[in-house]
Amino acid sequence: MSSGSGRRIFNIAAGDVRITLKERSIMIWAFLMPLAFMFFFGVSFGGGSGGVPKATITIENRDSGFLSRDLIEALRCENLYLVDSLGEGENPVRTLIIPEGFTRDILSREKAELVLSKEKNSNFDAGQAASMAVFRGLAKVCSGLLEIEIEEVQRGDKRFIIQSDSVSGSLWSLSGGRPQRVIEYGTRIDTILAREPLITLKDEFAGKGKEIPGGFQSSVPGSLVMFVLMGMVFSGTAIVAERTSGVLKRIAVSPAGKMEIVTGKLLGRMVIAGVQIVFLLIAGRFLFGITLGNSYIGLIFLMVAFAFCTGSFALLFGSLFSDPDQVTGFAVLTSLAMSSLGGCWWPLEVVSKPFRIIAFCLPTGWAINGLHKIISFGYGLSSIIQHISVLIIFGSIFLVIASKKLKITM
Amino acid sequence: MIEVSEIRKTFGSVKAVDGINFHVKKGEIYGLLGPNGAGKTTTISMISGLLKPDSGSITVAGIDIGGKSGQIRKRLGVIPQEIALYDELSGRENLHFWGSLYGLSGKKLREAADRMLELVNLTERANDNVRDYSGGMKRRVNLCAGLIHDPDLILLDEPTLGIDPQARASILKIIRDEATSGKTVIYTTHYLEEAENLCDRIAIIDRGTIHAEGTLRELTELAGEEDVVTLTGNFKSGVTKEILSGLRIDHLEDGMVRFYVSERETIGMVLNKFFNSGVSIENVSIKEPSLESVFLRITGYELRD
Amino acid sequence: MKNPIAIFLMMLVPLIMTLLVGLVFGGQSEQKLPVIKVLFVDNDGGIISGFLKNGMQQDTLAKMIDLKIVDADAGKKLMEDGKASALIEIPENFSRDFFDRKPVEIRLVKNPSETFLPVIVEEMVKTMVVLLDRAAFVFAGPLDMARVLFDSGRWPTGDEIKKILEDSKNGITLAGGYFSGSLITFKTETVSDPTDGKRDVEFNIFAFVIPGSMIFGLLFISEITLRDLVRERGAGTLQRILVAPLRGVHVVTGKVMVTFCITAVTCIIILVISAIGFGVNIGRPLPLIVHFIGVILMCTGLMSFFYGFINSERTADAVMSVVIIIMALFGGSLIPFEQLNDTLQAIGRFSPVYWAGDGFKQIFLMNAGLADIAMHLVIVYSIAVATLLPGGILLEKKLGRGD
Repeated sequence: MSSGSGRRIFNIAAGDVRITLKERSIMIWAFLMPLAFMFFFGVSFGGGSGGVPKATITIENRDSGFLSRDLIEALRCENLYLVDSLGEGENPVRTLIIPEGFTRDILSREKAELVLSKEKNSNFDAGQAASMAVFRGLAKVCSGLLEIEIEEVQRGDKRFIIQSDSVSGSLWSLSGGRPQRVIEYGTRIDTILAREPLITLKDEFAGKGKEIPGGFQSSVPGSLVMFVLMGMVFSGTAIVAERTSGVLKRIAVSPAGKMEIVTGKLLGRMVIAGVQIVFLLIAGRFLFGITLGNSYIGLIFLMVAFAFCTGSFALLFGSLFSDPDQVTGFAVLTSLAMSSLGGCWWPLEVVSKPFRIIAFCLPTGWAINGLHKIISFGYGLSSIIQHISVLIIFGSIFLVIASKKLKITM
Repeated sequence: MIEVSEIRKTFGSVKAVDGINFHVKKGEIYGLLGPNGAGKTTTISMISGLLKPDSGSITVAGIDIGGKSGQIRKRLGVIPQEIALYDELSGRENLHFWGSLYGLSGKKLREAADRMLELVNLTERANDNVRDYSGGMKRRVNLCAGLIHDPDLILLDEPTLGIDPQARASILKIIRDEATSGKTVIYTTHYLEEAENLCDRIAIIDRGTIHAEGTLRELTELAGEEDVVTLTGNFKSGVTKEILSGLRIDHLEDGMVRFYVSERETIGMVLNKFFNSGVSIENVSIKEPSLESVFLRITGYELRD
Repeated sequence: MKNPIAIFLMMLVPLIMTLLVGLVFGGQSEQKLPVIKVLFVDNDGGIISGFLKNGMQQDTLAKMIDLKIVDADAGKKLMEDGKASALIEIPENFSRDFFDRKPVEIRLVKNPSETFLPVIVEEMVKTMVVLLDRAAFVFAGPLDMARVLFDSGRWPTGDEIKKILEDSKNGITLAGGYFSGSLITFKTETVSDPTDGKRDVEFNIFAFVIPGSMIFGLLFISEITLRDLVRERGAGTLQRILVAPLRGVHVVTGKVMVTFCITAVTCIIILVISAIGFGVNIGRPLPLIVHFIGVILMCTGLMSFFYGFINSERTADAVMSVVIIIMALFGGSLIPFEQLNDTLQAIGRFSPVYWAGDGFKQIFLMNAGLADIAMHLVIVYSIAVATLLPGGILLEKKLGRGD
């Protein structure tokens, strides 16, 4: 390639970049809307709390006994926002109603009903997590009480014994309802619950990532891939517009040859995609607190391959269509299909196997998976060689077809 | 400067250009006059290297464009029919972009763009986006984008399409000046008066073929056209008919007659006859044959703007 | 209609979105997730780890979890390759330490690229750990006896087993009350659900998705149709119309009516395709029609109102899509409303899209009647009235000024 040729390629690319960056709507679509999507999808995937949105539970404690207090204490150890019903306005999202006489009923071994009341349309995942947390809290409190019950039954007091596999009496009957005794149970159960657990769970993430991935860790790659793809596909419409307006023809009668035009157009798009990717990754890191992994080299190579692939795809779009309305329509539908099936809209883990396979038939699927290898697992370049290769192969195929099909005139 | 020999181009079953030959000398403005679909744009596209002729050859300054089109393109300035500009960029940015494709850069590029903007009186609006320009302003920038690199051969494909007379006059003046400074110009148009007023030589092109070529005079002569003479005075139609016997009369009434002459000397003889018969002539009008009539005569139909 | 292709495409968008979601999640119930792939590394090989392992392969858990027993190296490799959602690793001597009541630690390795499934596994394992931990204290006596037997290195005699069982008996009997639900019940209920959670119709994923995406598409269609006003103003054709004996109010009324009609026709087409193509139960006719009219009026009104502030097509390009998408994001068109967190849901209730979409959802999924969606109707019609009239006036003023 001569220096003149290189300069022309650069000039064509620079022209495209300048035009793109001058468009207000492109700025909004390339930079602001992805942030909105990252935020919304990230929050709905659990935000920064590692998967599930931290549930808010309003406690409506109608009981005055120690068991309800112990239950609330146990819930404080869970990943929940606890709100006192007295401090809450009307229509709380989720309310745990501890019934009146809860402690006495349990001590008397009489039936008590705890109700977790949820507002219609309240977040399902948070609701599930809240239910599990309440269940664990109850398990802790009840098991503590059970220890005391076993001890008391073993004393053989007739007011609380087991006869022919059935329980007769209760701690309440043992206490005779005397507050002193009841307080004593409360103290004992506090001691039990204060014990360090024997079995603990240590949770960690696979790979070399040092930070805890949250909802944004999924939404940032998803939105990034979707909006870079969308931007690129829509930039294909610019090629159709240039053909319609005669700009492409004018470039073609300049000393720039067809390969220079194709390369320049590709390079311009790659630069735009690059700027967009860098902006969104920086926003992801500093605005949404995601980790970018341990290998910037790997990340750069992967994103360059993705930019090449989508840039070539844009050229293919611009080459295959001649009607601007038509190309816009197909751009919308193609972006929707490729981003949803590739895993930009929802995590691929929740879809059935055939759709996971389909995801890997698309560049979007490879790009997202590669991004996760780098930023979620914390791996290096070697782990994504296959991803980079596939993206380059996709891009090369698109580019070859685009070069052959590209018409300069209408 | 440019030699076009027997070029042909077919699109499917349509013969867009069917054996066109012409040559244009340095500093000459050569007009291709014809209706839409005559093959003008296809011819320009082949000269500019955009289309490859099916057969025939085109040489510019002795170099065959088929072999070294890149080398020749640098010397070409193409002004297309469309407003082929970036709407999103300003006039100046557009000129910078198009100039850069022809190897201009830095100070040279900036100076060339400024010179062009001044030439078309757009310096004040240079930094406005082209989308905010009027049609005439866009046409002027469109012209500048093809001239910014100071080309030797300028190809203009209907550059004044749909603009106001003032902008048209400005564009035509620039083209004339370019030719005066030694640039070779090929100019396609379907405006008869533009061809008449601007071009040194005109080729009448229709259905992919050049039907006639030459200066305006040559074309009229070639077509056997006659001058139109209109006389007014105090004569009766009967006398006039007698005097004008042997000449083709277009219109005759008492006091006015319009007739055709193929040679100017005939007019003097006719006037003598009127004087000799005691008729006084108040006004004599001689109209040379127009391109319009020539076009009609050659192609068999009128060329309308 | 200046841009029929654009309108056609905007009609296709909600259908394609619904089709994609329906295809991907088709056949699944509302909240069903795929079977979760979990790896189990048992470095202990003892009775307690076996108990955990077996527990996860039985009944309900077995339907949720595809448990694969692997060794530590294979597990690590599979997790690093992202082939499973989580790995549970039981340490060496886990059972012995459990009996000795020494602190033990179960390791859970989660797939960092997955969002939901590892969290579900974590919640389950957390619960199992709590239960096991508490059991270690509740059944401390029998477990001590069992430990002695293990240490002796011989098979226990029948008497020894009987003694352990007898000692456990009290605990089991007492605990039974808690487990059977005869002592404590914990129930979850949904408030302000008009149908009290009871559906007359079978859940259809398309019916769940289509309302939100349809409103999204309808807003865009109203926007595209009204855009002609700005486009014509830019091209000068509007000025030409206005020099004819027509007043601005006529032009605006005409354009708003056209927008209403096109949006309505599009909505009808989407509803028909939803019913016939996607098998969506479109509910009872009366609430459907009343809500439908309200929604179309609301879409037309909102867009007329916004266009009252728009001067050029370029501004429309930059602003209108953003406004619609923001309303759609908050209103649950693009992400199910149930998926938004509490704060966003609270804000989302101020989005017209929420009330329009949720109204259709109630009609499709709950077979809701007019009374059930009264609140939706009040809000949708109020927005329509509050925007249509001012929107029309603003547009007319713009024409009058020749902006």
